Order: sequence, then C-alpha cells, then structure tokens
Amino acid sequence: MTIHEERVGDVVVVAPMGRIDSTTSADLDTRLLALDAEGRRQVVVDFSGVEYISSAGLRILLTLAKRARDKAGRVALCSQDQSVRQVFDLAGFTALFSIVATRDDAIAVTR
Amino acid sequence: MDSTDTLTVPGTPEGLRDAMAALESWTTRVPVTPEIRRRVLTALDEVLSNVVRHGFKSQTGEMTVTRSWLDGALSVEVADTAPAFNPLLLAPPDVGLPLESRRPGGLGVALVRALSDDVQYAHRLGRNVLTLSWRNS
Repeated sequence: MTIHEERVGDVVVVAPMGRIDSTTSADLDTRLLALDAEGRRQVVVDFSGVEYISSAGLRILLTLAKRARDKAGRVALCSQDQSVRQVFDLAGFTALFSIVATRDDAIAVTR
Repeated sequence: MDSTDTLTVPGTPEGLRDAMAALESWTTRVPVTPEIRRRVLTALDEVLSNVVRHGFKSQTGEMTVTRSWLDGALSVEVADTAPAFNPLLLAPPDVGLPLESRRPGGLGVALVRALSDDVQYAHRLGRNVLTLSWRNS
C-alpha cells in the first residue's frame, strides 16, 4: 500500500491510497506505530485516496484512537466519501472519532 | 452477458490476496456501479479473511470463490473446507459502546450483512457455503 505523509508543524497527515483491507492494513498499522515511536501525538488520517475500508482497517484505527487516548494525543479523520462513511456508521465508529470534511479542518482539530 | 467464474485458492493470507485480486479484476469487467463494486469487495474481504483467520486457524484447506453475473444481479459464493460454522448465527456486536469498552473485531459479519442485499449460509458436501448477492441498483 502507498501511504503519503505530510508534516504540518507538529501534525502528521497520513494519506493511505487504495483499499484498507485485511491484506493492506498491516502497512498502515506499521506506519502509525512508527509515528507513535517517534513521539508524534497529533495525527490526521486523510481518506481522500481510500477506495474502501474493511473491518481490518477499522481495527487499526481503533488501536490508534486508544493509543491517542492513553498518551494524550489527538486524532482526526477527514475526506471520507459516502461509502467509507457508511462503514464507519455501521461499525459505530462515527462517534469514536473527530471526522471532518477537509484536511485543513482536520489539522486545525488536532493542533 | 451472463457469466460465471470459479477460482480455488488455499485458505491462507496468500490465497486471500489472490482471490481478492481476481475479484477486483472481475468487478471491473461486469457493469456494476462503483458503489456496488466497493460493497462487494469490502464484504468479500470480510468473508475470506474470517475463513482464513478463524476457519483455518489450526488446519489447512481451500476456498472456492464462484462469481456470477446473471440477469443484472451479481452473486459471489464462498465455499470452504474449514470446520462447519455458520457466521450468520453470531450475535451482532454492540456498536454503541464508548471507546474504552470497544474491542477490535466482531464487526466483520455485521458489515457483510449490511453491505450485501442478501446473505445465505448452507453446509453442503462437507463445506461451508456462504452466498452473497447484490442487485445492481
């Protein structure tokens, strides 16, 4: 999986491209764990390049949210299309995350 | 252009990857909407990864994926040689719990149900057979 990364001040924006499923989700987990190991606590996950997400991907995001809670970090998600949003709604994940429209909004939320 | 294709793969992460690649390719060849395509691929990732992770946890076996496009409707049947297990009997997860109480997992079957128009389970000839279908609308 290709994962784009942008650093805006203390905020890291992670933008996975393609599908986040049982085959690719380990790549996302590895990247997020590496950021955690670096001490990065403000993380945005930008979904604009995500084609779909399955529960394997949701699991990675759940652990990201729990890490952030335990370490006083901030996480925001942005640019979800309708089908990704539907999976979040079905899983009850919409209430667990700050989900905003644009990358700029997400950066503002995590600052 | 009715069509049926069958692919048999080992019940391993590599088999899962190959089956998903075949399904991705197939869903670009049948005239389904992008929305249906995403639903099909998401649901099949759930089904196949559950079979690999839970069904074949301590044994080897195979999964046969049969894709059909018939009269404007699409169906995918997954038959596996793992021990008999009907995933549709699993209780749905409580998706209303707060973050502290949420545990990873348990969501796959709920997503399969929600993303498919119809799901049926049968145990036939020593195989678990799960059939997912979608109307193309």
